[in-house]
Amino acid sequence: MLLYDKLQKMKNHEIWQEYCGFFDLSVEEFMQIQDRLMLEQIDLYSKCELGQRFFKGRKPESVEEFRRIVPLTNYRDYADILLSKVESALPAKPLLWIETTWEGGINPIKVAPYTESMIECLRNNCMAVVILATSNKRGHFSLTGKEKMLYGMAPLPYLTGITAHLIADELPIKFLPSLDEAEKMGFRERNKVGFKLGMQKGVDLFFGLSSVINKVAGEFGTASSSGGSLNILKTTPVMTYRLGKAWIKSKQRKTPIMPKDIWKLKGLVCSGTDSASLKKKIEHQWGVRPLEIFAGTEPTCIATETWKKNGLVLFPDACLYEFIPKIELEKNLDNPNYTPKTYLLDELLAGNEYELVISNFKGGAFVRYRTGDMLECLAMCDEEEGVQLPLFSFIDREPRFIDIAGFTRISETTISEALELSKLNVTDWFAVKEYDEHNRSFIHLYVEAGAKDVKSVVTKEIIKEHLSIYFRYIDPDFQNLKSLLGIDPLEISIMPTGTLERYYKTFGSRIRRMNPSHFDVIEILKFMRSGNKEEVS
Amino acid sequence: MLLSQAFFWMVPIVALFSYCMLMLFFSMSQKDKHIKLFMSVLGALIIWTASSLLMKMEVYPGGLFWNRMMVAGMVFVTFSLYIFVVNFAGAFQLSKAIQWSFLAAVALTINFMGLAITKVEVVKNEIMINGYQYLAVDFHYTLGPLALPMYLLMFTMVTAILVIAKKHSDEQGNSKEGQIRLVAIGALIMAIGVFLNFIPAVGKYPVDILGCFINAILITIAIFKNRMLELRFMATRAIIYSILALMITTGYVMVVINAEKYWGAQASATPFLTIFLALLIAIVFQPLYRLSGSMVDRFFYKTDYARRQALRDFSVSISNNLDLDIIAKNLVEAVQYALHPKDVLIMLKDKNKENYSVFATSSQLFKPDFQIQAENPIVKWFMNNDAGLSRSEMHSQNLFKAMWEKERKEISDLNVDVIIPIKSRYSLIGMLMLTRKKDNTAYMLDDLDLLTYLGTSSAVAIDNARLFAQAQSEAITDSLTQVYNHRYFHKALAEQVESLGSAELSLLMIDLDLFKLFNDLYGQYEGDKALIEVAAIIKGIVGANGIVCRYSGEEFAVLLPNHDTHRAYQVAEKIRIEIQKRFFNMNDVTQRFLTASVGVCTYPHVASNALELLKRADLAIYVAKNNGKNQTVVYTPSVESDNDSQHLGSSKIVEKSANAATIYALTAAIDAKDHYTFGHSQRVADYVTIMASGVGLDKSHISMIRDAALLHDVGKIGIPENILTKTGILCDEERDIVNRHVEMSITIIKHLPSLNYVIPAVLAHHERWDGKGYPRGLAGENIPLSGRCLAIADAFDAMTSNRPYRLSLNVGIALNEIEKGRGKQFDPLLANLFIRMVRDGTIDVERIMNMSRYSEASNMRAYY
Repeated sequence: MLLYDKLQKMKNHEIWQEYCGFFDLSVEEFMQIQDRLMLEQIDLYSKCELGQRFFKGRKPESVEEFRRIVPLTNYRDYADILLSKVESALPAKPLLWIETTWEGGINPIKVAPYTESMIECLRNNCMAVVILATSNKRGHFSLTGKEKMLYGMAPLPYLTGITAHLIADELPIKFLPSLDEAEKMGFRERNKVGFKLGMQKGVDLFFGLSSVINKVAGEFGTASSSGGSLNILKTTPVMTYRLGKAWIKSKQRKTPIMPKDIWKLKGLVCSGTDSASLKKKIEHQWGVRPLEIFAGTEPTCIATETWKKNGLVLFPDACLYEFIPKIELEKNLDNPNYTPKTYLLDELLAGNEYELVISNFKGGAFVRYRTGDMLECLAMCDEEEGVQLPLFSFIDREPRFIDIAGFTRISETTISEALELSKLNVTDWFAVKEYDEHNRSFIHLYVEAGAKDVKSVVTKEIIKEHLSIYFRYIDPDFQNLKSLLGIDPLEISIMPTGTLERYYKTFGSRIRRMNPSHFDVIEILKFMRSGNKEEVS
Repeated sequence: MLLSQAFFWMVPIVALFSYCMLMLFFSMSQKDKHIKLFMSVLGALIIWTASSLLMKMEVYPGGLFWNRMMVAGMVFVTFSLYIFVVNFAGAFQLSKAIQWSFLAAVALTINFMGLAITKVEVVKNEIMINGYQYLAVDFHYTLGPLALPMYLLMFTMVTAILVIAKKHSDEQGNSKEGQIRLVAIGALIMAIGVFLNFIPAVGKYPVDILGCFINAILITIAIFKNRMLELRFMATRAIIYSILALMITTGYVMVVINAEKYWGAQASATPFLTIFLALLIAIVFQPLYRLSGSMVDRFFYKTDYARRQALRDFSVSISNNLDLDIIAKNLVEAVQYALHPKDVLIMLKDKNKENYSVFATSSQLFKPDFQIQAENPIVKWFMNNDAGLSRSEMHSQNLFKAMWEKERKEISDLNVDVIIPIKSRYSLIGMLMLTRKKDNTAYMLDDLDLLTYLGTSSAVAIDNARLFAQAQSEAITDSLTQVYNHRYFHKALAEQVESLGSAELSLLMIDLDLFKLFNDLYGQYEGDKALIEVAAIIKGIVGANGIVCRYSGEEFAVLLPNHDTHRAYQVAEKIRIEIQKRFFNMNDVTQRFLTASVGVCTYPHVASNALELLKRADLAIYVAKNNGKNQTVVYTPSVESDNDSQHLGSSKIVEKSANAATIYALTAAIDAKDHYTFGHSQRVADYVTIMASGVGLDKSHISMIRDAALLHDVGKIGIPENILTKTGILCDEERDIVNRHVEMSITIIKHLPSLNYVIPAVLAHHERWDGKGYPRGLAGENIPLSGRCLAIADAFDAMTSNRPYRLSLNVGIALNEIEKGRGKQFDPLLANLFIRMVRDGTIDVERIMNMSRYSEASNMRAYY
């Protein structure tokens, strides 16, 4: 039975139990589900080539043994099989291949197989998200299934594309624009048409990257107040009334029109790296507290906030979750040969940051896969709301990657390739993710140039221009940051020649190239200041 | 009475009575949302009809008041019927309901403000028909200014009801079996009645009331006949029976009154009348009452009737039954009769207590190979829940998130809709699985209650049956090997001989060779394990072709019906070879060794009855033993004659002489390799033979120990000569090689099945009482007695003999050494015995030494 039929025929508490009942689980029950589903996955995995690769010819009898035998993996461990889509090497036949960007350059994309069971699980979890988006109290929600939803997501073969289809399968939700149309449009056009239709017909739900939601709201005043593209005859009387009311409100408030002046959204779903920093702003702009979810191509949709929207709770049936504490991660960053320890959900400590490691259930391809996502365990439970499971907040990508607005992931390889292609005389560098005054993230690249290229502003600009061109070449998403979100994602600082060498001589170790610790950067800045001040830009 | 008059009065009276009765039924029934809504429709109908009746009767406060009440009733009826229909059709929308409530409120306000009807006049005319005078009552209404809008409003509401009912009636198709169609027809008839009321010629009769009445009847029929609302009556049966009794009593009273009217004048007829009436009651009314009761049950309580019947039949059938198959069959039948599922499966816990397998199904053609593992969330669910589990719960409950895709698919492929636990003493012994009902309707709460009851009652019966079957099985099963026991063997043998008539029946008697020694050597536990393995081998080979029994300690019997001698021999050989393979070809010398001797006899060729068959198979096995063991002997008359001639004693002699020759050959080989060892073995054999007599062992045991002593160092054949004759101290490596002679001895001896009885002693002669010996590190009495004796004699002779690396010790010193070794190297009791026997001359060391020297001189001596 589809969710829409259930909404017609079943009581709300029954629907809640089916989709959101997992909030009632104790940690012990959660772990029992994880344990049993992992045994199923081990069984499937042991019979395929990938399994033989990681199990080393020995089928683990328990999850403990599985964690002991199987090493931590990354995409490179699967690339030969997955990029060639060798289905016979997988634990189960995939129904879909979902795609996402990888490193750019010679590795532009990575793909992940989705089996029928994984999609069913994703379907249920997506429905839970839609229900929770319209909920602000346990067991209560206002979803009717006939809402109008802004299509702010990337289409298939991206993960968000399949979620849109799953929602459309289950509910007669009206997408603005329709799925067929949206999938033929580019990102910019899709958003433009969506908002135009939203203005005419009203909007009840919106799902998008936090950075996009924020950007849209920022530009909203201009778009709506110009009224250029809005045909008053095509709007419903209710929307005409709302537009008028919004205009009066904005005049009274002496601010541009905000989305909340026009629409009374039932639910707003957001995700992406900058969610934590943008959520409050989004709530202010849209008048509804956004529900953050956590999803990725390899793990699928694996966490949602509760009705209180105060922390992510993991779905029990999507993946087995392991966590690398930050301290272990640091050791691993300093020494790539070090194998960091992992811990299970019931072994975490509130207040600590962890890198997430997942093993797919239901015939998925990834085992002990390092997602590179950093989560903070906010609390081990929410006693007030009766949730016995840990609550998380998505912090960022792990330091080896710089994720800008959820659009692009810059790795050391990407920067090295760009520098190499640019033929600039950059002898050494390191990169840090930083935020501007609007809480928008950017890459701050500190470079040491060769002797002949130093000491001029022109040189810095040239470096920036060169690198931007090559970043765009290597990573197409880099280009979208500027054009879609208005973010200038690259900032260059030139260090005096020999700064990093001085650092090495002083501290006895090389600085990490990607996201070195805050204190290491401070030390570098001190060296830079103590050197030729004119050299520092 | 005029027909029109009767219609005028009777329609509202009958309708009102029926509404009240229905209201009573429903109020005493279990109610769901639909029933509650239908009750509100009934309530409105009661107001409408009662007001109409009271208006006709001109009851205070008068026609106008009752007319307004009647109109209010009409508004209520249309509104509540609208709510009922939209709810039932699943098309309820709050906003629309609020709109209709508002309009209904407007209509009521118009009505009570007197803006619809302003005046009601009652016009009475006396008319004469067929000489009878009747009073005709007519009503004349004066309409108010808002009468027309109000009627239009009601018209709209009734039309809306019809549209919704029609729309959903078409949409539902067959799934609700036209349940809503009856409601739609009822609503249409009611609408026609209401609108006919506006035509003066017809409106003077209560056609509206009639329309409503027919509507109510149709809804009620829909309820009862189509089980639309799945009513579960609690107390209404009593009411129905009371009404039935009342109707029959009324009939009876009418008969009596009319009879008295007719015959009452004749006083003489009174006694006859009394008798007649009594008979009438007895003959007609009582059966009529019963028949009516039964029909009421079948019609009104069709489902309940089936349930009660099923329960009663099931209870009776299981109460005295201990046959699991019959109980399962009855349970399936009861479920099928009561609930009409498409398929029923009974899953019972396997004997190994791990999984649940299909035990019985509703169809002989449908027995899926399907199991539910003990870790399945369904099993875990029933650990904490006693009630049934529906398919929807499997989707919604958290526990089932842990279900494997394979498990989910299996349940889905079987179309299982409901699973009921069969629990006994808090333990889940089985499950009852039902697929969807034949009419595709869902299982209701009451169905689940009934199933739970059936599950619970069958649990006790199934448990008892299983215990009984287990007890029965245990009575005829050997608890160790899980094959049939001795008692069952005799029963089966007699039965087989009787049932086979002239057909062939072969009996294999399988006896494990030297099993007592095996037990001595490896202990009881290993012995038991070996028996279990042997039983498994035999069962595996015989399969369903025969009956395997443990006849005695190490003896198995196999009955092979319809097997001639040749086939039986083949089976016997297969068993014998498999046992030999499993137990005799181990690379590790400390591994177990076992062989079997098999005797075969076939009825009726060489045995005329069961006793003869058994005796002759036994005789065949005896011959097999005497011929060197590890062989199969088929009984023929010649076997018996040969055996007669050999007899027991002579056969032993034959065996002994065969062994003697082997021992002779082996000792000759030792002598050729190492002359010292040859003499040493002879002396040790002499010492130990005397010592064993002192221990009180029987002759055969003494003989076995002697043979063991002669062969205990046979493994030295494999040790390089330079080590054997080395004069200096042995290095570690050399010592290891020397120590391996025990294993080498066993390696040699184990290839001589007829000599394998010496293995325990040979293997143990370097074990120490304190457990520090080799090769197995046995301690205390775990070392076979023969081994312990041998260890003392071996050590004594080694000390009292000249060796290349030292001269011999004198007897006294050697005895002191043995004394020192008591409780450490040697069994203290045996050591004491040996010392005493040497000291008191029972063991004449000098003589034995001389004998040995003489023997050496003559190079060889005969043993037997």
